[in-house]
Amino acid sequence: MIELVEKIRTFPPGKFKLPKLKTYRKGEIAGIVRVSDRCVGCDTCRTQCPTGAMKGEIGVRHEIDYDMCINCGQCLINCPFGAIEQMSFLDEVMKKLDEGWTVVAIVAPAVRVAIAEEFGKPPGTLTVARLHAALKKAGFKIYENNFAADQTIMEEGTELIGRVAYWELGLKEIEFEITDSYPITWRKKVKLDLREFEKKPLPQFTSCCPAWVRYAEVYYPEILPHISSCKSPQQMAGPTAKTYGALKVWNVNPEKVYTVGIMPCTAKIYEASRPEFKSAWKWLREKGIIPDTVPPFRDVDAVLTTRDLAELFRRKGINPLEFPENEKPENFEWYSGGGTIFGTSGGVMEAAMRFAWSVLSGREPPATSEAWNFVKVRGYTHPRVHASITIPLKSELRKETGIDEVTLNVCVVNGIGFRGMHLKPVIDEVLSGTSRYHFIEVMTCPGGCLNGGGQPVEPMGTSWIDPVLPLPL
Amino acid sequence: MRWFVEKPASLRITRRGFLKVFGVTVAALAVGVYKVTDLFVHRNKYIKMRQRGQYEDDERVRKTYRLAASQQNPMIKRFYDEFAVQPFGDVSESLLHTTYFRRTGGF
Repeated sequence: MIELVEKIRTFPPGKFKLPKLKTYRKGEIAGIVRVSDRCVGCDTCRTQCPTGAMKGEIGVRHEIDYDMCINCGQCLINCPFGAIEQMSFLDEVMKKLDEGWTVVAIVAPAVRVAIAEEFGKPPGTLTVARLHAALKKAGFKIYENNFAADQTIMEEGTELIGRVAYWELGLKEIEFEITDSYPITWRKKVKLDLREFEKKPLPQFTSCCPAWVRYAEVYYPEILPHISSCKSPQQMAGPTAKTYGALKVWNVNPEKVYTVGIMPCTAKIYEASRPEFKSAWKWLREKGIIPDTVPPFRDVDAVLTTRDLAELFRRKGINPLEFPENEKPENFEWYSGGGTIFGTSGGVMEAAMRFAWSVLSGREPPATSEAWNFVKVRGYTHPRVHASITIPLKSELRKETGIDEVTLNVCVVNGIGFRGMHLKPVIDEVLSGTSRYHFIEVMTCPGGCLNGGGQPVEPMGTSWIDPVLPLPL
Repeated sequence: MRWFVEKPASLRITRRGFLKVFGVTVAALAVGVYKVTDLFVHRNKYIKMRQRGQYEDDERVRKTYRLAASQQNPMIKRFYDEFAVQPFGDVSESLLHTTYFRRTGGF
């Protein structure tokens, strides 16, 4: 077995000419992965592509049709010859670190189980406090994307309750309390006017995966009202850091905050460039906090992949594994178990079920209790998982709705599959109105984000071929 | 002038025919050998290892900080108390929600 992790080549943004594209808006970054001339035409990537964007035949250099491509990067991590390259914003981020900006690292859940591979440890080595310490040494402030995942669940879980209340129970408004009793009792009243849910039909799809969102936009635009209106965790983290974070937590000038997503994903690079994601700038202007003359700035200014972060550490001479693995979290470093499992397939679903179950039933077992584990929604390596979860309602909700319990039918799509093989049957059901599900999670990459296109490339996959060849092909 | 005379063996199997048969055989063997390695090389092992790491983190957070679900996160409580008021409130609608775009790909 070859133990070395394959090093993927990168190229800076803006140096790569593309033909005129139809499925991108102005300002959106296209061409995040490209096939270099080291491609030997082995055709492995074509069988991994979920959309059929990879064109070419055996023995011929392959090409990507960028109009069809959803930037997931599965071709890149499965290439046996390391012939596919990635666009990298590393130089830009290094410059910003030196220029005295408040550089905020938004660390995704799947980064902590893979970054250690770049420094010689086996996959799955958990690196949390060590990673935080290394990032702080490199000059970053930490905004856990797991905290943003918790924000996502608060919003997306509430949305699910709203959709079910409007479409299944026929309510016009709903009021419920989100409570927690540790360390002191905390209550949050939520009042929803359900008339706006008329445009939000069931089933609800997750919106965390940017490649899936683009897939829906390009191939199934009719499905868009079904996708949760919540932004992905990365895009919640950006504007929160630039508003709440800058003004109330760190006390810094919001214009001088530079947010960097550290993601296991190549599609996140594209997502951060979507033109509507300038909401912090818009909000700050409306509130009169920044003058009207400030030019628009993005919610997430740059995205680094897990591989890019490892390269940043190497250039700065930092080894995250040399730091101690203990810390007391503060501010945006706090996250729950529900937030951290976002990185694996079925994790978003399980986190949403933990939220909905506790809120609707009013139960709150100890955190280590098995009752929080919804093992049957976990994707592991199954392409599709479905489950029914029955939640008994607490007495106030029983009075309000007139029913004793709700049953949520949920589905987890673990990887879109070759030409949409795993996802298409689920979408066809929804479009024909025969779907029995309430909530559907879609992850583009098999296994979830932890097998994303920005992760270290493991020689256990197909990438072992190139290093064992006696001569280059 | 001397002419090239084809040898009798190659009358039965031509040069092109030989290359075809040889090529296909090699390809079949290569694919076969690769498939056999599937028996002892678990190519999705790293996915399982990383998944295990992710659930290990879940357990760690639940054990050390008593945080199983999102609403228990102390910073979430602070965020909604100090800033966003409630899920689907005005701040959430302008900062945490979005709309989608129909892309005319024509596929």
